[in-house]
Amino acid sequence: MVTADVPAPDATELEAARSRLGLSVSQVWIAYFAIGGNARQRDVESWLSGATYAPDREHDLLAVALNEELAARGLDRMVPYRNDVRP
Amino acid sequence: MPDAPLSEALVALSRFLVADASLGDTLHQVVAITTKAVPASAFAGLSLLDERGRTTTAVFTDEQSPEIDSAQYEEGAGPCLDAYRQKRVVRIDDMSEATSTYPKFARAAMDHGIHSTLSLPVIVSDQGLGAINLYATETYGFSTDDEDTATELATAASVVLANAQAYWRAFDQAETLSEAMKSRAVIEQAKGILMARSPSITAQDAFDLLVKASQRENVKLRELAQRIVDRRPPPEGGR
Repeated sequence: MVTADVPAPDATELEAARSRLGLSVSQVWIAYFAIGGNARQRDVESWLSGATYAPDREHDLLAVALNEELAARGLDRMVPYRNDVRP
Repeated sequence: MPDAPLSEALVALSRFLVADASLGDTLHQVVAITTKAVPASAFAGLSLLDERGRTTTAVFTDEQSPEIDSAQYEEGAGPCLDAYRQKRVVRIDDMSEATSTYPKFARAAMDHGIHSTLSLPVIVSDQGLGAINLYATETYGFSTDDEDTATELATAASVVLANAQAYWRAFDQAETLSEAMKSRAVIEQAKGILMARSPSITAQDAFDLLVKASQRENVKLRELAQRIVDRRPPPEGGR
């Protein structure tokens, strides 16, 4: 895993979505695991806080998981993808 | 920060082996799904190291799996043991040729009518903790594609085990986790179907297609994946 000197700018957007949804880190992890995420909960926690930098695939899976929750509640899909997924 | 994921996982495992049903159910589901995803497999089992460093077949879809496996545990030589000790996939295409490498195991397998096997390591934090083993009645039962599919599912088992500690801190998540596991399996299956339709696309491409379609139609990935698996066309005019 890459440790970031500065938080990944898009970590803020993941964390903003989590907080807007009122989900705990473990709820976010479950949603991310449910669509194929392979990282551990503690890694996800570290990415959300911006302490470490998520690999592109894992970041985009978290973004998909959070965007799905937002859409399910009729909110805008607010988390941008890094590169793999461009709807 | 000191990190002791292996000991955590072992503690979790030992608890699972004696008491917890939910993790066992989830792992059983992983093994059952693997059997379905790889049609050649007649049955499957998950060998795991216990807290004393002994290997047992903790989860299986057929009694024959622990019966065959016990031969390799007795002898200390077998494909499941090599898979997790050496952290690699071990495939035996023709059991009659494995009698010199794994004498007892090969004999036990053939006694049960098993002529090829595929063993996938379950690795947690770089430590081999066990292996998922698939058994086929035919020789050359497993292809390279089967290896890839089964490896994905072995990874899922690893993730379940790596997070086992967290699960006990949140018992109420057990059901959610089991649902998450099902969702993951359905999405995996749908990716496989898309890849079979267009052999040039990768697993990542297939996933991207699913995400795009789910956003376009505003349905959850899991629902869309289920539709593909059930071969249900989307409702007229979308939703």
